[in-house]
Amino acid sequence: MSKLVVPGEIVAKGNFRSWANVLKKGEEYLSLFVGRAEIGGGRVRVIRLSGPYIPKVGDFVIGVVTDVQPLAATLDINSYVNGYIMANAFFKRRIDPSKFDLSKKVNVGDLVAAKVQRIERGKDVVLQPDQRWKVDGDAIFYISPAKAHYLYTSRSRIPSKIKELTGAELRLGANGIVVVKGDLKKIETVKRALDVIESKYNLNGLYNEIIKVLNKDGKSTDN
Amino acid sequence: MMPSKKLLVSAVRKEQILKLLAQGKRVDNRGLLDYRPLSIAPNVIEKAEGSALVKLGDTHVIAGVKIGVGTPFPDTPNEGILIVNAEILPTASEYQEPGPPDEDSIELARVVDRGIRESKMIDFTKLVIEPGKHVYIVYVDISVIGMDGNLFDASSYAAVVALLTTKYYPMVNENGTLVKGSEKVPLPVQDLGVSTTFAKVDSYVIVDPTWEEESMMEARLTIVYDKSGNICAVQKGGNGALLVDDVLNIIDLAKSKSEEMRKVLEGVISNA
Amino acid sequence: MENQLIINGKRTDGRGPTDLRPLKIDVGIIKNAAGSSYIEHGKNKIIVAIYGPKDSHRYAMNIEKATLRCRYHMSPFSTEERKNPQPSRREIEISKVIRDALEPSLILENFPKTMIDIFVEVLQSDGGSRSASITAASVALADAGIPMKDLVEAVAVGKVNGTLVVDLNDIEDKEGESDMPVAFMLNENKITLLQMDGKMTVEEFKAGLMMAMEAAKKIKEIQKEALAKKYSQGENKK
Repeated sequence: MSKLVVPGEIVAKGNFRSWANVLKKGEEYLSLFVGRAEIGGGRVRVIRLSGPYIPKVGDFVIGVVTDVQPLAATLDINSYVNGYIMANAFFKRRIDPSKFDLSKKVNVGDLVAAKVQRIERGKDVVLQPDQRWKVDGDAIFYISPAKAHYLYTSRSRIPSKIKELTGAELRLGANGIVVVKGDLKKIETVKRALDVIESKYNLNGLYNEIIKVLNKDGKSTDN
Repeated sequence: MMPSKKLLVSAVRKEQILKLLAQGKRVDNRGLLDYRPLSIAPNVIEKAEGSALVKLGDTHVIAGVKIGVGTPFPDTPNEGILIVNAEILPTASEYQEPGPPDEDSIELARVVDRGIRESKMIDFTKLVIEPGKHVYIVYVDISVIGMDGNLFDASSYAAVVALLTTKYYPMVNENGTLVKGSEKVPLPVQDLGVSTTFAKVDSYVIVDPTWEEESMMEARLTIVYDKSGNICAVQKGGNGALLVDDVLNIIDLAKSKSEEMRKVLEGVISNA
Repeated sequence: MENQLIINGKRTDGRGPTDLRPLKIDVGIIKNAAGSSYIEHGKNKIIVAIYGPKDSHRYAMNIEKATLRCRYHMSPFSTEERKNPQPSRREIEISKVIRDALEPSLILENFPKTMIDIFVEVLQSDGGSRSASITAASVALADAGIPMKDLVEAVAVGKVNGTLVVDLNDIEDKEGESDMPVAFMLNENKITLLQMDGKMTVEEFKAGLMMAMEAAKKIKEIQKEALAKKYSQGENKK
């Protein structure tokens, strides 16, 4: 059911309950992007295969702190809008900014894991720090945000499989930022898996493809 | 590089304009296919060989023609040269910054140039002093003094009237040297390219848009017809799109509109 | 005196009046760009790169939608005579009309306060470079994931020795009786670029417009193939 479509192409005809990434013209649904069309359950949508990270409420993202102010920290979330986290959110209770210094908790350059809490068109996005918001690692990779977002929202088994087969610790944000913790060899192997994700456009076969590539290293096979 | 300034038209004003259009009217009481009051005054700048001041509603444009002498372009050794320049002056509106010509001024100059050149209004082969060596250069400089939309038609009328009322001293060869003749002559004119500009606002086609109407339009289409009914220049402007049917319709409307405006221009020129 | 540009229905390059020049498009050729494409159309060799959506400059910021900017530039070695690298008035006008040809297809409201840049570099120029640029840029914008209602394709029609022809080559562009580049959004039957210079009767204009539309349909197929080539599964090489 996963047909490649280009912008302007008719994805489906009829009456659907909900639709995403398509333009509804009467009873025709036209794709707005280059992507894979999915039709089913009264729903028609196109999964983007390229383009920037478009924040959605509930997304788990990893951002880089670019500014720390008394009331909030600003984060680069690999998008065309920034994210910000209120100082309060970093502490367990309401704090008085005049008494607590946010820069004691976060600094410019730090990696923070957070969930998208609130979006307003044309405004920076409000984030809520994750339970384990401090992200530290040995390597950082960027993958195409469209694919990262798809892996996240489809609750793909791929990230956990990579962790399992490589032995590395992995945190993958829906915004395309991947942080890896492990020795050089593990990092190398994770990179290979990420390269597979980047080079393929049919996300259906990805899972098996990655297992194939990672098993070339002589790791134990698993299904 | 950067798109030009559009006026911010409030929601209420948009409603007002659309309601009137539905009744075949515009805010200044015009019909959809009526031009604003047009006044054209030739010979306003005595130091220029030709000039004209056009007032099309509140759009005010002045064009000046200067005749110079120079070497011909290498690929056209037996032709005079046409150079058209335009500037939307800082006086024209609060959004116009002083500086080198912006993309709107450049587009304006080039479209007016095309209307003059492609209609073959002036026979440039008759503007040669010495073949391959000396030719006349016809400079047309357009200055937009006041901005209220439809710069294309206003500038074109100013340029055309200025050219067709130009009188200059020809260079004569007197015993091997070039000297200025004693009697002024007109340019060798053989046609008249008439420009008309239409805009698509919502589902309506209107002629001669004001700045406000241009700020609401999908797109505009400027068309130049010569005296035999041939189309010599077309330019679509604006960041929207026109239906193919709109284009076909406007081409026909432009033909009859240009015949109307042709009479006006010819009247001004013959009375100059 | 007049050059014979079309003899017995054959043009200077052997084509018939409705034949397109060879056209090929590659997608995603510049790693750093959000989207990119390379087109060869006739002897035109043009690269387009898209950057953005990204933070807009203060002066250009629009709170309703992304600001689209376009730069069309010819490389100094692209033409017979070396071209001065400084942007000419022609390049400035072409930059403007290309931008106005693509903007109607894009849904810029999705990215308010940002800027999207279209950079067109003509490496080798032949007739119809602005049309080829538009065709390539639309593909590059799709590659960049910018939401759009339809792809945009462009072609120049004209008149040589009294005959209407499609996709003018360099000689026809320079010596023909008229030159009319047109860009289409075919799904909605819309025109986003239309310029003409030369002399045409009303009938010729209308017929030429329809010929351009037929050519645009063929070009659209090539655009779709180019995108499918990059984005389909299988023997995928990066």
